[in-house]
Amino acid sequence: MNEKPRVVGVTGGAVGLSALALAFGVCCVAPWAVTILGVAGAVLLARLAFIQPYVVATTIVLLGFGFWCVYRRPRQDAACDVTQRRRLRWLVWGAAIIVIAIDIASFAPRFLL
Amino acid sequence: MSSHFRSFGSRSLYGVVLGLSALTLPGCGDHKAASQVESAPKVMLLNGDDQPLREDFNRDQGFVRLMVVVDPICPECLRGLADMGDDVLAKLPKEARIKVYVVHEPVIGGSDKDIPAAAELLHTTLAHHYWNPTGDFGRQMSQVLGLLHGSSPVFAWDIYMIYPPNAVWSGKGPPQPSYLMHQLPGLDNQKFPPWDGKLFATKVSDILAISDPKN
Repeated sequence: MNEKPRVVGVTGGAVGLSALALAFGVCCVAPWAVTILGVAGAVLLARLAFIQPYVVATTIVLLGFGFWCVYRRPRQDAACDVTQRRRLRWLVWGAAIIVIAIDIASFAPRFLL
Repeated sequence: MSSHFRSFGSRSLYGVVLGLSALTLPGCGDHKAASQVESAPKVMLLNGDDQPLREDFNRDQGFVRLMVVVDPICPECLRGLADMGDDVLAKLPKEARIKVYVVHEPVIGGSDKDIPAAAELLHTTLAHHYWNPTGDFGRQMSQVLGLLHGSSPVFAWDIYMIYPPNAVWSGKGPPQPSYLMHQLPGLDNQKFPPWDGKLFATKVSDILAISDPKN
């Protein structure tokens, strides 16, 4: 089975969700929120900020699933595309670095302020 | 045939999406701008002696007074204002003897132009709005309240205070409130409870009940 769509989806989802976590994390110190989202959107962002840790946890789970996909032992009868598997591993590692950096940044305001 | 149905289905979907979008459009831009113009609050500039807030505060003795310090573009502060409007002010009886003062400060870059949109969240035109561009009021309030993170002072913003009817502003700085809530990181939450609109509403009702001349 081709793992590419699954791995790309999972890593893309993790990066997207980490961006959302960052928006929640910096919402109190972000002057752009009202400009971009309007007053009602900014209020909603602040009201939903409590889910930030759960969003971060989901990004970690998605990354874990991505790693599992690219590092699990392929079935004996499955066609093995070594080049694609290597690219997917690079993709997952790249996404992991980005996601972890963004996740850490999303918690930074709590400790810096 | 099936492609015809698929095409019809996707057109219907587009129609529904466009229809829903059209329904939401009246809630955007113009309507909001128009309502802001209709009910734009009067914003007073705070001077170095905290006038005219001090004068208003002392003139309103006999009323329970709520004082809020916010940045008009901080999402957490806006959430606090929205809760104040929804949970506290909207639920008070019309004859409630209460006054509301909102001091706006440019902590993360808000300006006096942002105040009308923020003020709408209170759903009342009774609140008095003040603009303190220097942030002096936040520093004063921080000293008065003893807001500390460890040993470092914490600038006073995103705070919600209740003053009883007999409170008088006689010293240089504002008086101590009888109750305070906040949304600031790093404060001792035992001493300074974090913001909870419903709990704040209960406290306001309690103080109103105690201070009601009929009781």
